[in-house]
Amino acid sequence: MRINVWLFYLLLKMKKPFYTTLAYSAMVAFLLYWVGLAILSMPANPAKNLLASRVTHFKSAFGTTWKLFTPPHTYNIRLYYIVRNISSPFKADTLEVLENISLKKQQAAPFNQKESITDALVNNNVIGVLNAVWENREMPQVDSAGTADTIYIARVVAEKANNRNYQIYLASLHNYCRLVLKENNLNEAGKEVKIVIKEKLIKPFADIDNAGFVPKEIVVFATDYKPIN
Amino acid sequence: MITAQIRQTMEWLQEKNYKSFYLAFLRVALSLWLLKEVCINWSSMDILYGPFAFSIPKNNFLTSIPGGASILIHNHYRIFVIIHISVILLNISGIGRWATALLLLAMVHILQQMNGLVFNNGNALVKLVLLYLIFADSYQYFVLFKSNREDNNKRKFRNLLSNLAVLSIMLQLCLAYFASGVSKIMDPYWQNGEATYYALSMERFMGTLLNKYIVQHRWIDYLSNYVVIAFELLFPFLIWVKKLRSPLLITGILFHLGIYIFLMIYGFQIAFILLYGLFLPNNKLLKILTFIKFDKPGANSNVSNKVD
Repeated sequence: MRINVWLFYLLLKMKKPFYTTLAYSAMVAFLLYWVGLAILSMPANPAKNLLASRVTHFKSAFGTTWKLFTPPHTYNIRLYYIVRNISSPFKADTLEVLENISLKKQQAAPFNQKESITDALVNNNVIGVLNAVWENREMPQVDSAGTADTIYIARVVAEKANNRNYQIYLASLHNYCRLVLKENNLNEAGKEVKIVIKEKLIKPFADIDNAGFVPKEIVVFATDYKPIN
Repeated sequence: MITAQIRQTMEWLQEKNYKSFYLAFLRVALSLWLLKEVCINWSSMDILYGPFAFSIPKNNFLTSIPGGASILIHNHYRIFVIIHISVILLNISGIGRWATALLLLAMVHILQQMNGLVFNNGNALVKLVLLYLIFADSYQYFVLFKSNREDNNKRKFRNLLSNLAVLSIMLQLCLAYFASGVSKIMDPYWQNGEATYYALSMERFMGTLLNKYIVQHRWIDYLSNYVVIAFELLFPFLIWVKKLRSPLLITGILFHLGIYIFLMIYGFQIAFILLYGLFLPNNKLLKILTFIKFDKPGANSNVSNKVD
């Protein structure tokens, strides 16, 4: 009994130093967290690169990049599915999907959650493909892709064929093709598809007053034909 | 001198929970926001999380769990979503306190991993705020059950954590704006005043028919471009100046409303605006609460006149 009372007294005595230590530890953790987060959230800088390589888990958990519309896209993206019969490849159906998704999203605003989800899923997969393929490489800049450009695109795409992220994004677009065919009442059996991504330039800021501006469409990605199933 | 200053700061942080009311409001509001997201996504659940979703998730911690946990969740995603809704409701009523808050963060994270492509910066912000709310005492208002009295040391420590959590949410908002502002001043399109022209001209973000008309006026493009940069760079510093707080918050609300209407980015803006309330003084908010008579007698004992 006496020991219990003594222990209780000791714990009571220790309680304050315990909470004081906890309080100072919380303060130190708070300061360290905020120094780390501030460095990781800023645009590329040497401290960020150094820290990011040391604390990879911290970066993936908290290192959100805050740069809405930076840089802004100076083009609208077009995703084409060119579908043809494997047995008779002379005639093909060309289906463009992104312009249609944008139109539906605009028409349904502000109650366009369903359209926004489709828009985000398809666009982010397209952007994922483009980022995977053109990472550290210069994109084609001409509107009518000549033989040299077609070969250049095919060569770069072939180099990325084994890239895991590229495979995931492309497989997602391939899956989406099935939905598009279904929506357009087209049968997918015995068909093959070629995926083409183009960038359609927005009228440059300098040409705002140019009423005769004709927007270019630049091919930035193309696959070979591949069976849908 | 420095030691005395640190001790004084620590004592101040432990004295009371300075944002007790808005923390409770934020817990409920963010939970309702999450509930709204689930409800409006209900018809798209199959395409988002179902086994036949066309978008393949990238490798993440879910796919790395052995035994096909990822496939299991995708196949039974509706059960998972119902559990998610239950946790949101528990969080709204304050049942389970920090344990529920932690569970909610885990569920939001898993949902994000199941299909990360639809999550934007607004979702990232909400996730971080949910993390900070685990440490905050947001249970002095809007709870089904009041907690028992706790001893002085524990209460002081809880106050400290709560105030640090509030400070973290405020800093997070400031950091988001500042990092975005710094990115913008480093970008040639934003430097030249052309960026909002391109943003408003993008088909997938063209929120109104007016967009095409508005962007034809160069002065609007330049003005909106540089106002956005100025707001994002100045907000983190000027918001701490009491006299400038109200105009800045009003500008911020207009800024987010502009994005909401003209760029069709919805949930994102509500999440940002919800955090603004933390910059308002607790006592003013409590007076409003008393005025609309939702308050219980004695709640004014929590009113702080010391801190804004």
